[in-house]
Amino acid sequence: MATHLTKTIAGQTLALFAQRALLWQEARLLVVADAHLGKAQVLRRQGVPMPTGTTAGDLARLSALIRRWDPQTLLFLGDLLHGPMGSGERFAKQIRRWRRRHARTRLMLVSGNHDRAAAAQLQHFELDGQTQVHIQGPFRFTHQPVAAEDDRYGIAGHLHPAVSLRGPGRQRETLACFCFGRRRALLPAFGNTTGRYILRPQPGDAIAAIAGDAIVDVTPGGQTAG
Amino acid sequence: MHAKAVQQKALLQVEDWFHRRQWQPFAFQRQAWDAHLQGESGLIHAPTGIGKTYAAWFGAVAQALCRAPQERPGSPTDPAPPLHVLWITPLRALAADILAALSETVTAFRLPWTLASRTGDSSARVKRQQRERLPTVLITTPESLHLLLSYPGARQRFEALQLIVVDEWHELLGSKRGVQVELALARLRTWQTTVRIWGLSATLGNTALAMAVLLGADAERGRLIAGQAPRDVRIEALFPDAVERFPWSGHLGLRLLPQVIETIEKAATTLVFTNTRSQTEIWFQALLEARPHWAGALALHHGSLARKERQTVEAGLGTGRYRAVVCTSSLDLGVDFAPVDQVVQIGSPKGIARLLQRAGRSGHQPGAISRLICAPTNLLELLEVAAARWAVQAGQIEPRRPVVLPLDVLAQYLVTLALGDGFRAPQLLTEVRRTYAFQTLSDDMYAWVLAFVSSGGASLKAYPDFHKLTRRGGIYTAANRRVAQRHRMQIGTITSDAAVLVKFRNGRRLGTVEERFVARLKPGDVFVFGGRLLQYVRLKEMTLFVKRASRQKGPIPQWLGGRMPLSTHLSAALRTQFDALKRGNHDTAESKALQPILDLQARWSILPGEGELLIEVWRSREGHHLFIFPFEGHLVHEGLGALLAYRLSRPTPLTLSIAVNDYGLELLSDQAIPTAPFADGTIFGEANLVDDILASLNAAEMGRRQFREIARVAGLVFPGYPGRPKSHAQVHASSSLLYNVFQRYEPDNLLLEQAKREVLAGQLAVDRLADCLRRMATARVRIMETGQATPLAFPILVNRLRTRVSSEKLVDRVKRMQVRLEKKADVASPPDQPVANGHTSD
Repeated sequence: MATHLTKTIAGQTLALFAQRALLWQEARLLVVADAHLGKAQVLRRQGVPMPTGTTAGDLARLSALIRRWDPQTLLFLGDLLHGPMGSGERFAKQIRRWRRRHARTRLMLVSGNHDRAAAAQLQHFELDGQTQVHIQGPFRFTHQPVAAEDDRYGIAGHLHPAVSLRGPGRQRETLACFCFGRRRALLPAFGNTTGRYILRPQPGDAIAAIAGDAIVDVTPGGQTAG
Repeated sequence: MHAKAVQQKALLQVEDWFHRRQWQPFAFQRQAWDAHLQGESGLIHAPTGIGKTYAAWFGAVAQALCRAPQERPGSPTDPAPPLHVLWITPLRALAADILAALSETVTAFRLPWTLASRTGDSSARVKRQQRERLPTVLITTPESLHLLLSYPGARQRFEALQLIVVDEWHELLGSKRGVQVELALARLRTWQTTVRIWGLSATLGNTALAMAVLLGADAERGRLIAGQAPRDVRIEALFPDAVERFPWSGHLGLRLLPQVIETIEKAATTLVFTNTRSQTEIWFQALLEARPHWAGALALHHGSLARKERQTVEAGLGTGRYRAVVCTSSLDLGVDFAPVDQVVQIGSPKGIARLLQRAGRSGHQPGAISRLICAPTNLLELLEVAAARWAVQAGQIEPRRPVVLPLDVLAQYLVTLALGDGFRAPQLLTEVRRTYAFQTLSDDMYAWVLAFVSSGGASLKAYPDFHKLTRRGGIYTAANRRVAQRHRMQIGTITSDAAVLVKFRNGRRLGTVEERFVARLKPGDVFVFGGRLLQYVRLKEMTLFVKRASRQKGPIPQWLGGRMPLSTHLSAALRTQFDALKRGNHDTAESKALQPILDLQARWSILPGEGELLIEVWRSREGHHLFIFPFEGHLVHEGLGALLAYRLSRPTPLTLSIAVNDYGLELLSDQAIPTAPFADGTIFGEANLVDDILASLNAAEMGRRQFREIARVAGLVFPGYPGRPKSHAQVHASSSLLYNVFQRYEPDNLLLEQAKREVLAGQLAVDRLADCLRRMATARVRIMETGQATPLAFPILVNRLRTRVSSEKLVDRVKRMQVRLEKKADVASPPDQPVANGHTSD
């Protein structure tokens, strides 16, 4: 059972994890899109009795990835926070504690549409940088997929991509996925309280679906995602 | 004057009113009036159109007439008396009819009463006025009644109440809206202990229980009044010309259109009942296309049409303006309108009580026969017609099971009361336990629900950001205005999914369609609604602006809740039919007509007889199919399917997809399905039944679907504000997301438990399932290998709604799967078989 797949783009090695994160090995850059932290708090304020533990669960998953792969930089690909959450003192404490634990890791944020509404809470992450576009080597990292301006390969989130699979005996399954196209890639949403958008893959797209703890190459036509 | 004499004088006045109309009160009406004057409560049951409305109503009129004239305010400038009569009806479409009928009598008796209705259709101005002062007689729906309870000062407005009538109680009973009524009644009775409560119901298999549920703790003193004996009902079927070419499945088919037209032409007025709103639109279009000169004499009626549209049709029914009205259950309820000559039922009536109710719309003259003509849409429905006739003759009518302990409704209700004058927890518990639904509510459950709505549930105690209710001086009230506003929007959502308003560009309202349907359309698209071809102009928030289309064809909206399962009684009647066929007993016209298909079934497989359990095994390109035919109705089959799949997949990793219909179920797998456990009957064993049921429930994720509704009722998902609604797809928390989050982080959440309990009560009722298993275990199992899907199997095969049970690892299954590139695959019809008529299921 594969817990990760690797993919080579522009001579660089990208590892795709079932934990819904991507590691650019040469740059030791861990990328996580659409964490939507604090979504439970936002919903609670609207009167939805969300159970506790969703934020802690997401942060623990992040910590495990950092401990295992020791990235130099953790890049959030937008929508790190879900929205305004009032005082959110408890949430802030949780974030600050988490940040202290990973003080060595550089934290970067490519701003997403949700982050604007939650600007006040962002400070607890003590980000090392916040931009609209992060350009590094052959890659352009953005929150929303954008039209290419140059030869750089685009990597984006925002859509919460998922893929619908069919099997013999009329089996069906919809799973979050990575989608690697010719010019750009989409990352799955990291947060465990996020919804999803079902992609209609184009010919030539390489798809890696997340099946529980495993990641499976489900590229149509059977080319490998590696 | 002696009180008794006063009452008799009042009753004589009522009798005079009847005589002036050349009517004679029925004995049961007189009984009901007497009982009312004695201060009694109870249930009046009789078929539709027999006079239940007047049986309940004139008790209150007589009571008013009893008062000495000087006590009655005489001058028209005097304010009308406060709310005396509350009339609760399940369908807002009916409120206008009832209002008209009651108003007429108030005028005739010169009572100084005001009458009004209050439903979701009422204007904001009317609603505001009614918050100040209610009319003497108020006609309303369960949701609107709860809304009235959510405003401060409710107690004072309801204090003078003398009579509460719950109309169409059989429709409410067995639904969560019925529980809403139970809760409201308990509250109103606390405020006014002498109020009389009368339920009006069609005759059910469990009428006494229906009364017990209505009256709750006061049921012992309730009075059961039976109406006139039902009229003779004659049930006939229309037959296709060539049964060989008649579709084997589907329920929208128009194959019998020529025969239906011929039937309509034979009578002056006809009601054409369908089972779904979509079907209504389809048939209306088809009739009009076939007989263009009927335009104007043909109408359409269903619950999603705007009030004005419905009213025009209802009024026209009385004047004989229409040759035919195509309608759904929106017209099998309701006050008496002029009876039509005949009733046509498209498709199977699915239940005996419903069929009688619909038949009752024709031939109202005393002693007249009610005629019901069934137009089946597929072959097996022809047999259902014969089964229904047999059941009617045998006097079998289904019972309705009341809903017990719906905590989502209680959660909603607690917030409702908190919005008004608030409540004290211990007093309210006592009151709530007086209802049938919550008589067994434990202290723990109550405490959980209370915590759930006030602090957000057990695990949220410490969260200041969650607040709906606050407690001050022992009284729970709403935390803030926003909570109140949002909650009032939510009260009406027990029945409806997100609805989009359909309007012409000049602002004229046509009705509502579900958002899911609109989402599939884009500007310029043409669709059929309210009997018109409309073109999508633009969607602005939750309003769809349309104009008349010039094109001829378009898709027809589907509304949720369209599918109706075959009732248990009708399923049993169907088993009897099959047994008769097996023994070569073809005494009905239907079975004669079906002969060629039955022969085919017998040739490819066998016809199952009494004491036999038919299992068909077939290998197709899709995989290995195993069909079982217990004939228990699709609710039981869903539970049974999950149970059998679970037991099959336990010893070895196996993934099974399950499809069901009213006759049987299909297990489909990409690997061979072992038949030995069926042959030796071990799979039907009763050992560990309860544990296996619970495990299969999780395996098939059957709670997930149930949770959708629960989340909406309990206020977990929010439909949006009017004016600036969220698209339903963007509602921040979708119910399936919440289901996953609760499963993972708060698995003992009682609403999750409730979802399971509802599935258990609906599909997996242990006793019914155990009965079914016992029958199968003792049956002679006939396992037939077939070369194709047989006439019995085909309708299940093409059902697209499937659940899954798997004991394989997700990743192992995914490895054998492929990305879906196209939207959906067409269901290929096996060779040698007629094509299903287009639509496989809802």
